[in-house]
Amino acid sequence: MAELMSLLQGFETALTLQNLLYCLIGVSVGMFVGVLPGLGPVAGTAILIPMTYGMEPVSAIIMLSGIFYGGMYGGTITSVLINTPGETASVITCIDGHQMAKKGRAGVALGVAAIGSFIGGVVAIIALALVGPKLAKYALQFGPPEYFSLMFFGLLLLVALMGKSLIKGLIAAILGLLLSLVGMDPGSGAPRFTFGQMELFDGLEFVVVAMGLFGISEILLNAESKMKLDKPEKIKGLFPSREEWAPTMKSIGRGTGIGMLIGLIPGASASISAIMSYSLEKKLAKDPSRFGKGAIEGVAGPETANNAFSGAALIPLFTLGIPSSPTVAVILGAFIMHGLTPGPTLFQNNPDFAWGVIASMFIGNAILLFMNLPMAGLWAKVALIPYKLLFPLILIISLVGVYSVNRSIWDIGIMILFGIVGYFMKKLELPTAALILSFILGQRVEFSLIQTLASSDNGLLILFQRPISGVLMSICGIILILSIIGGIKKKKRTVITGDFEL
Amino acid sequence: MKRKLMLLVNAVIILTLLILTGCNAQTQKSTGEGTKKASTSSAEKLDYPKKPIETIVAFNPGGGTDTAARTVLQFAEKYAGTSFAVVNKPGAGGAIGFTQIALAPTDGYTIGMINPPSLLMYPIKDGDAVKYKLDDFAPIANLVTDPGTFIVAPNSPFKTFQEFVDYAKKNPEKLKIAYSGPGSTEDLALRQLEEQNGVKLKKVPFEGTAPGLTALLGGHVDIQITNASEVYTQYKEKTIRVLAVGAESKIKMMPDVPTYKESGFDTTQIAMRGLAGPKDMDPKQVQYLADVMKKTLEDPDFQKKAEELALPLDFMGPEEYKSLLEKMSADFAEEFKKNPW
Repeated sequence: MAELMSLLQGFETALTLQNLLYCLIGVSVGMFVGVLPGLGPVAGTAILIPMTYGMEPVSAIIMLSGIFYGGMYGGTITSVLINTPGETASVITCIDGHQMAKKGRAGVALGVAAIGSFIGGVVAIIALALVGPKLAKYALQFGPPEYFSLMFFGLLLLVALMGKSLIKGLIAAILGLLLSLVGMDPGSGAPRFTFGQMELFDGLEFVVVAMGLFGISEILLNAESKMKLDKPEKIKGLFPSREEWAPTMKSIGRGTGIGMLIGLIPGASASISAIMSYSLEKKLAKDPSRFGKGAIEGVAGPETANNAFSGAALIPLFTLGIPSSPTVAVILGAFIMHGLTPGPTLFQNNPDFAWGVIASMFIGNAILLFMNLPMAGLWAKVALIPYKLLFPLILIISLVGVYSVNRSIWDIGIMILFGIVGYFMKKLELPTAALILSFILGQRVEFSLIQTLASSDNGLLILFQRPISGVLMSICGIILILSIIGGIKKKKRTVITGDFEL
Repeated sequence: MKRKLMLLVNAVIILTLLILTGCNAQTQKSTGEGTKKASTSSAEKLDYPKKPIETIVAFNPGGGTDTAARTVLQFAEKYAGTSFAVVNKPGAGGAIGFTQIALAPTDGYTIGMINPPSLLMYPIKDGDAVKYKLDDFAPIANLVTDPGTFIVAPNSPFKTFQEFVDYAKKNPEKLKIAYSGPGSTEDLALRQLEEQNGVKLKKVPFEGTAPGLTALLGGHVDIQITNASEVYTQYKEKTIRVLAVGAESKIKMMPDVPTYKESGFDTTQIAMRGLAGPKDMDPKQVQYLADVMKKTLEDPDFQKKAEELALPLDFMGPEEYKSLLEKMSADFAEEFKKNPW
């Protein structure tokens, strides 16, 4: 009940004209980057972080999280109408979504996706509101050893889940870990890999690196590819036929569950939740051959899952301060920029902030439902904006933005450098998302290991002596052993195979 | 037709962007036009200040130093006869911003916030990598002196600092203490404690006060050393117990808490925030700004605001401030030579 009262107070914050406006801007930008092939919510949040510089922290996070969940809605539209995923979490929707569109059922596909997204999103936010504060109290029991083992678990999953091949995921993740070593050694205070540059004493700035890796590199990549998009299919009717409602609602329910579960795991991403939901729907279907030919469950499930994911992914951020996916990592960067500490004390110390953001997400999802149901055709046209007009603009925003964070030319250089790094990584199919997550987790993993060792009586053994970290470390051990066995038995690729990036 | 429309849309967006950037700069320059006439007679002789004074803050907006600076400077406008434009130059624990102050133009229109003792420690610790020395600054005034403090959770067995020291003496390497990492003032205080009282603690580094406090309340560490202003709210709400403060005498914020010295730990531990300019700034301008700050810190409205923000005010003029900084710097250099960190 106390949560309900706090939530109502949160609406008080979220319903101010200013915050409503930022919420609207956030979800619109989210739709925009979601619809645009080549730009996803990671790039959207990274590029726009500097714009939040002068805002109130709560407005800033309301806007950035709006981009995050808004992007999940937007990606669907282009998947269905022009068979081009607007962002990676909607890749799977192309399969059945576009088939539906070809059969003249584009409206139904979009309608079902929007309804599913709304349900998945709202249920996940309710979970965040109910579970968040309780978990936050429990999170006080998380000391350095628990944080270490949780993040270690995340790093392990990250390598297993990301990218097309295990070895490429590993390369990217280790690159990220190496980059996280730059700066002051938290244990001794000695500067490492700084080459006498004062700018490097604090390490590489996360926001700058993320903007380069996800913003600049996409511009470079898209500049050389001539993308030709098909004309969007016509939209007619928005709701499925009466007999389709029951199976659709069931897959929406399952999608919600899967999305929320995956959202809690550090190192996962929205596309993983969508893929898992799709394969589950296919397995459960009475007639699996329908899939690939326009099965409505193949749209409803995954689209619900990626939205439930985006809500649930904020739970570990709000309660433990641990980012579970690349976009959440960027949002964490914004928290830090605004002087906020996400973690167990967030609900206590900044209740207006925490509840304001949660309340805004209800509002944002409602706005998105409206934007998607009647206005989908309009959004599909956004995807047809010629790149030669769009990308110079994004480049300007990025350059001005990154300079405004610290007012330093150095940062511009670093951003461009990582833009080039990201470009080559994408050419070589190294997952940039694995790099950015291991980069942000790496700093924390190292720090919590140092804390663990500083407070331990018997070295690393403490990790196995405490119940929470003991369980987590055991799971890590099992994953490691299983993957080694799998590697010996056959040349195994990643846990999830297929042609997916991010 | 379509292309023209696109160009138009782009132009509008760029324009909006520029306006937004402009607005940002405007708000930072803040107001101050209306207060021009308040300038004192000495200013007319000096013919200073004629335009807003840029003030570098070496930390992120919204942080402790930034909030303190913006609050003080906002009230100081009334006495300065001009406004102050805060410019944040964060990075390298403040070293980047401090360097910018040292290298600033000497016309008196660029000054900055300095944070001793970190300001003093960087050149000692990191040598040539840090591109300023204490001599490169003209200290203007000290504004805030924030004493260090030892805190425990309310259910801790330690009621006094002495109890904590006694227990630590009997059980070496048993108690875990949260601190902000090697090379900090807290690190220095802990070394002195270990040296003077023959105790040995397990020092667990944390990134700032808040994460350390979480660990303290979760029982992952037994005690924490931090700054008084950062735990003032918790002290008032009694969610922590403050054992001792590192000031010379008892502080107004926490009147019932004894000092380190009263508790048998012969040292002081303070973090300061003040204003400084580059060393070749006109001494008359330095004195003018020092007078402005003195008046600001005596302003009752400001004092009320400072209490809300838990800012322990402590004015020091240019000479007094300079000699204190020089003494502190010499002490650190000696300590570092004895036992580098």
